[in-house]
Formats: sequence, structure tokens, C-alpha cells
Amino acid sequence: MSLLKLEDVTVAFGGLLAVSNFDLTVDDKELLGLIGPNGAGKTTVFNVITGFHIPVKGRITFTNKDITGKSPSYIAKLGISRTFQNIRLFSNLTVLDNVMIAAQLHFNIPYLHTFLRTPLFYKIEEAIEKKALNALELVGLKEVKDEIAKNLPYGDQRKLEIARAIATEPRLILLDEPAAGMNPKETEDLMKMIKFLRDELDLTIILIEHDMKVVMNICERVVVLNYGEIIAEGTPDEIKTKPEVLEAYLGSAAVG
Amino acid sequence: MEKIKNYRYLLFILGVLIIYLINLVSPHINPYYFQIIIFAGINIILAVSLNVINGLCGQFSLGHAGFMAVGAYFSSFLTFYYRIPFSLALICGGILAGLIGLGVGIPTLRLRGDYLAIATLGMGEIIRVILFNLDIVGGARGFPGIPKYTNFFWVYLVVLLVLVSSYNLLKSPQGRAILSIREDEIASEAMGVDITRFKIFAFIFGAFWAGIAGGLWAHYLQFLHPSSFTFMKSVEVLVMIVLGGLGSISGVAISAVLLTFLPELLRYVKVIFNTTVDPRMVIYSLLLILTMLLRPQGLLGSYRRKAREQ
Repeated sequence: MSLLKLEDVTVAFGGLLAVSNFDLTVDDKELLGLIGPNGAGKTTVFNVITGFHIPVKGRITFTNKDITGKSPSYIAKLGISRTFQNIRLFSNLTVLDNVMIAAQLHFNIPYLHTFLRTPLFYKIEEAIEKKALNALELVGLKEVKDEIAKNLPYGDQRKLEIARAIATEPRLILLDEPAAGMNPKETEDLMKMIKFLRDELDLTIILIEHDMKVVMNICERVVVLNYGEIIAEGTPDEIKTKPEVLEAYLGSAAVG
Repeated sequence: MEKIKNYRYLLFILGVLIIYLINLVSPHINPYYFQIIIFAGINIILAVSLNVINGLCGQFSLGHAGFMAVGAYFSSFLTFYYRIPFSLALICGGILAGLIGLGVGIPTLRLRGDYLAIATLGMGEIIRVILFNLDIVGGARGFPGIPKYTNFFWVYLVVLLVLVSSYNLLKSPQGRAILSIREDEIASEAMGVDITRFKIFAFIFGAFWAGIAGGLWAHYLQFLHPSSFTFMKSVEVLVMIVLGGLGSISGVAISAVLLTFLPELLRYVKVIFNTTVDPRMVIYSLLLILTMLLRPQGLLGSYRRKAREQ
């Protein structure tokens, strides 16, 4: 069953076509890799799925609902969550607060309960905190929950972004270069975690990554983008040998 | 858990009781000191409410004097012409200010940083010019004869309410959503926060309490004039929250008190040194500059505005 479907999606910035006539179908519980040289339009694909860019053409459906041109918060509520390539944490807030903001997505406390501090308020607040702590435990940051987010080491900040993305209880999670700046040990842990998310939490994952080790090891299917168009698609092993891919990455001389 | 909740309510009732008791002895306080205490309370209300917009939500608003003017004029209009009970008039003034906050917020909150500051500044000026030409509330002649209803009890009851409500807001899902907008709008949206809704809420919340502060001010001075609500009044409140530490409720309240008392204390400088010129405002400005150099994040603040919005 397809969970997410992009049909003929085109995103333009002025005259530049960042993504053109893009078709993609993502199945439920799939682990899909999205690769391509810098500036190929990978992040733009993420931005158009999550509602930050509105496509000039095409249709995006998620769980059979049309989400083309909907607001990012609406799309998040439907169950698409993401991380950012250039880490976007709530830097001056604590680690726990960062995740609680995401965890409170499906809770609703009327303002009256907030201002009067009714028993219902405490009950919901506790539930949110519990959910946030679960997400932190999953990425191994529970011990540093009271740290200010900007004081965390780089690798932990990436993990915190993932924890925050999980906490919204998504069905589809978009990871934008999660391994960037991580050391080999951290990358190893990250790969385990991504597999865990898919296998145990039944999440569907789309992954943008430059670290080929990560892509080749965990992705089941890889889509290669260049200049906003899909140039190849297949299993990691198929992709490795395709001349179009080698050309895009290494230049045409390498192929000949 | 149950205990903590009861304790909170008890503390609130105790606070109201203390304010009531002090109110009983307030006629014996020296009128000069008493006036400063009243102004300190009103300034706390203004600063704490602006802090929700500027410090917590990160929206740079310079329209606080405008909201204050709306509340001041409307509540005075109601008590002067219709003899409406003071508490009701105050709330009506607050609500009208909140409604104007809503009306202004919807189109302007799409703007960011400096642009929003200019738009809100313009709104404040528009309100002032309208009041200048509104004959029913005196226009340029001013609005005299407002009944003197404001006393210690009313001012500090509102202070208590604004402190409790801001604190309850801050430590809540809504408060976290508002903070996340200040920290990173894009990430906030990606986490499902409806940023427009929360920005407008912060704006209405701030405007409402500013309107009530205006009502208290009007019914203390018994006279209103549009020139009291210039852009400088907004800046005065802005200085309080920047000095106290943007986002820190306690810091902002303390700095509102300090900045009300300081200019008055500095009057003694002239007396002590027996100078012909009054160096009061020079020292005041120097102290402000020094504090900002030594503690750029404010007295109790931990958050510092980004120099440039990206």
C-alpha cells in the first residue's frame, strides 16, 4: 500500500526548476534513500512534502489525503515529521522542553484549564512529559533532559532532532542528513536507531544522506536525484553500478 | 500532587489577603511614596504583559502605549458617562484593547523583526491621533474629571493576576508553543505548532493586560491626554523588559519596580551635591548603558535576542 505519493511535482524558484516533474511513491514501512549531488533538490523534495514550499504543479497525497499546498502544521498533524539538515533546535530551551513541544501535538488543553491549573491540566501535562521522556530514552538522551539544547555536543543535537521528530507520533519521518558531522561510532549507532524506528515503531522513513555507508547498509530502495530530476532508482546494489549515477557524482570522464 | 495544587490556590488567596490588608493602611502612607508604589505596580503590569509578546513569543512590538491608551480611554469613558462599576470598566477596556490587538495582529504578524516593530509603532500612533480628534473624550483638550477609583488593592490585585497568568501560561503547552516560535519558527511549524494562532494569542494577551493597566492609570490620575501615550511610553516599557531580561517574568517585574524608583531616588543627587543642574536623567541613562554592557542578557535573563533574524 502506498503511504505517500508525489505526482508530477514541480517546484520553481523564479525561473529555476528546483524539482521538476517529480514522481515518487513510498510504501508503508519502507526505508527509502534519497541521494544526489549537492544542489540536486533533495531538501526541496522534503520541503515540498512538509508544506514549506508550494509546488507550481503536481499533487501530493498522504494516506489518500491531498496535502498539496497545505500548511506545515496541518501536515505535521496528519503524521509527517522531519529533521533539518542545518540543525533547527529550540536552542535556549531544555532538551525535555524541545521534545515536549513535539509531544504535545495531539493533546489539547483549553486555555481555561491552563490558567486555572485544573487537575485535567496536570494530567495532560504528565502524559506529554511521559511521551517526551520515552522519545528521549529511545535516542539515549534521557540523562541530559535538563540541559539547554544549544549546550549539547553536535552528535547529540542531531539525536535530539530525531527524538523531537519521533515525539509527534508520525507515520512518515523525513531525515535530512542525520549522519552529517557524526563520527564513525555515532554513525553506527544512528544506523541501528533508524533500523529500530522502522522495525519496532513501524515508521516509514525517507533518508537524505551523503554518507554512502549509511545509505547502502540500511536503505531498501534508493532514488537518485540530479538537477531536480530522478536519474536512477533501485536497490543499493543496482544503484552502485548505474553509469548515470557515477556520472552525476564523478563526472562523465569517470564512466568512459 | 494533590497537595501542591491546593498549596498554589492557598498562596493566591493569601496574596489577595495581604494586598487587602496593605490597602487598609495605605491612607497613612506618604502620598508621594504612595504614588510611586502605584506607578510601580502599573509598570509591572505593562512590562510583564509586553514580555509575553516580546520576550516569550519573540515578536518585536512597539505598540504597547497604544493598547494602554485604548484601555485607559475606554474604561474612563464608561465610568465617566455611564457610571459603570470600576472592575467591569477595567475589563471592558482590556477587552477592547485585546480586540484591537487581534485586529492589528492578523495582518501584521506576518511581518518579522524590524518590520513588525514599525507596523506596531504605526498602530500606536494611529490610536493616539484618533484620540486627539475624538471629541467625546476631550480630544486635544484632554479628558478631565475621571473618578478616582484606583487604589492599592486594585493595582496590586491586577499585578498578582498578570504574574500568575503569565507564569501559568509560560509553564504550559501553550507557553512552550509560544517559546518555540521565538526560538525557531520553521522548526516550530514542522512540529505542528500553528504559529499564527499562537502569535495572535500572545498579542491579545499582552494587549488585554496593557489595556487594564491603562484603565488603572487613568483612574488614578483622573485626567487623560493623548500626548501621554506617545511612542516614548512604549519605549519606556521596552527598556524595562530588556533590562530585566527578555523572557524572564521575575526579572522583568523587578526591573519595572527598579526603573520606577530609580528616577525618584536620583532626585536626591541634586540635593546632596547641591548642584544647579539636575544630573538625574544623565545618571539614569548611564546606569542603563552600564547594565546593558555588563549584563547584555538583562538582570535575570538567560535568553538574548539574536542580533539579526535569519
